[in-house]
Amino acid sequence: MPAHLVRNYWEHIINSKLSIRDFSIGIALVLIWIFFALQSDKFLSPRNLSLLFIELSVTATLALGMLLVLLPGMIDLSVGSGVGLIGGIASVLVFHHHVPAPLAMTSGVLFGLAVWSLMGLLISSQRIPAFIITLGGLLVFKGAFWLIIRNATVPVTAGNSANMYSLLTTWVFPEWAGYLLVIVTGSGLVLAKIRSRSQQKQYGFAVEDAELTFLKLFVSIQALLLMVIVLNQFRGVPLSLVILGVLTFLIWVITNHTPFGRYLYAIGDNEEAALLSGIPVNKIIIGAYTLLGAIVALTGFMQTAYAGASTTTVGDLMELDAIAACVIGGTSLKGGRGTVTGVLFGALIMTSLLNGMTLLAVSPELKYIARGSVLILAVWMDVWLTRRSPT
Amino acid sequence: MNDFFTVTGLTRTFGGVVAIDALDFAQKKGSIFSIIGPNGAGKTTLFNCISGIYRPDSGEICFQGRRIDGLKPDAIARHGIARTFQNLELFFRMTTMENLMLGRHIHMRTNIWHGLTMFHKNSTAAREEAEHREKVEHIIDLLDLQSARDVPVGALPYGRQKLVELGRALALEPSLLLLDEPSAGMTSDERQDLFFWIKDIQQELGVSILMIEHNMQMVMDISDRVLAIDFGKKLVEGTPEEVAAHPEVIKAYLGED
Repeated sequence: MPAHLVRNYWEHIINSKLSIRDFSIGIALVLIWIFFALQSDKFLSPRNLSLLFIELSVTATLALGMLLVLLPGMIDLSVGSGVGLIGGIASVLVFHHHVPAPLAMTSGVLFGLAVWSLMGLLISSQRIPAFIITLGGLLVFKGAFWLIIRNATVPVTAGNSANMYSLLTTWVFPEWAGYLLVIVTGSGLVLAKIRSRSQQKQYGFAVEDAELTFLKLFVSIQALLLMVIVLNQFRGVPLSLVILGVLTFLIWVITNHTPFGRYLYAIGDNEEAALLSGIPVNKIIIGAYTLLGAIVALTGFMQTAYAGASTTTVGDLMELDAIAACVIGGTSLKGGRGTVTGVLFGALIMTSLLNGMTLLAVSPELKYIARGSVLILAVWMDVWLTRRSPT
Repeated sequence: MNDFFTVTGLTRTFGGVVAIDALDFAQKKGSIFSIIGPNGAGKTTLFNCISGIYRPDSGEICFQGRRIDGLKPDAIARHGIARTFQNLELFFRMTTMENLMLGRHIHMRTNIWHGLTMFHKNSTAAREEAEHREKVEHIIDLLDLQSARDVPVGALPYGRQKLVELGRALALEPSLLLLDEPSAGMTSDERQDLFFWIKDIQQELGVSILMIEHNMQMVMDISDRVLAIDFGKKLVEGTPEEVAAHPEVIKAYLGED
């Protein structure tokens, strides 16, 4: 790569109005990876990275759902229990009642949609704080989960044959399909960028420096290719990672390119102004929770499939990882601020920490303490940075 | 009586306090109607009743032949009534452009499927977005906000924030615009500009304006009709000259000397 391009890139980064937050995520991620790589030579092995990316798919999927309710200034503490419950419902249907996996999963999604829209309704029109409703949900879902699986361990495969459900985290794309994915995603990114540049020009907006755009694309596609090469060295690109990719694209479109998504930001920024601008605040909040319900169901299937069975501990504390991922990624707990890319990075940090600690055989006690400390640190940074910024 | 905007027997109490007491008035389409009165007279309560934040205890509010009292604020906004606030209500983390675009959203018809196909140049979403941006650019030009277009509103000075709020209300394309103390906190230059803008909004955009204002000079210069209230009751209603000459107004509001 020509040296002047790299220099321009750095100058651009240094001169731009990026906040500390924009840098801190990347730096923290690199430091965490260097630390674990030095502590364990297995951390960067294709096998471990493959597992890490499956874990990332699960955590990031849930975190993207959480983003939808954090943006309008709400919260959901019940998603972890929900993951266990809906995964449990589907595996009981498959294993005990011999329901085909697609049907069992559809039932799970419908359940998620119904229950989460009900919670959204209670929160928005009855004005019960989201914190309380979902804390109640956490306990209710946990109890219902244990009742449904009768405190036993229910495998996700019926009659020991693989089904669609368990494939979620076990199926991998063949090697050639992995490279095809890079080509498709890469050209998609390039086309989208070209299109948005020409539109911005058309409407007289300032367009980003062409060299910078090129470098950004170049770096992202290289990173993508590197990831696929590493994953192909083990078993291939996991299905769950592609599911995450599709979901990321959907949530990005929703948050950035639909009125519904912009309303989420508006409500979190100033609810009263939103209401008086004609935004049906209650409906939007119910909508956000309903979408989250579907995502909780999806995460439930993925996490249960990854665990290999539905047991009493599936989903434990996942709500806190999802919230931490969002906050680390720059989402404000007061609402109104947060991006899809930020959440992905936040989830990657959380996943790397958990994966690395498992690899180093850190005791569960210390893991709890570390998880809690990261959550507090992230929220404290959020509060601190919000106080310093002018808005 | 006309049927553009009428308030009949409107009453709103808070506990034992009667904030608005059987108030009647009617506004003609295309006019500037000002409400004056001392602090605590019930002016902002009246606005809150009209825009749906408070539900009136009794009485009727009719807009273009339809009863709107008791409707939710977002429904009232969609009927074509927009407002600004005494204390600014803005999306402070968003840019001026984004604030104004949010005002447009009630006129948008796109959904997620349109969003997904927006990369196509002639997609519904792209065309609609362009259409709304044009309207918003027009408002930005009208209010001279070009330099603030891509700046987060929280970083703008107070006077400009007030204009952004006015712009966001205009982006709704209202038939009736409620302005709660538009000139408060403005310098005399800014106030002079505001005077012309309000005139422009009335004449160029054909928007009727219902305004609470403390600056008597502005009220006298700009209003077609003025309503003076105190303790939630009508003192007098008439042309600016009639109201200014009324002894009760002079006593209650302008001071006795």
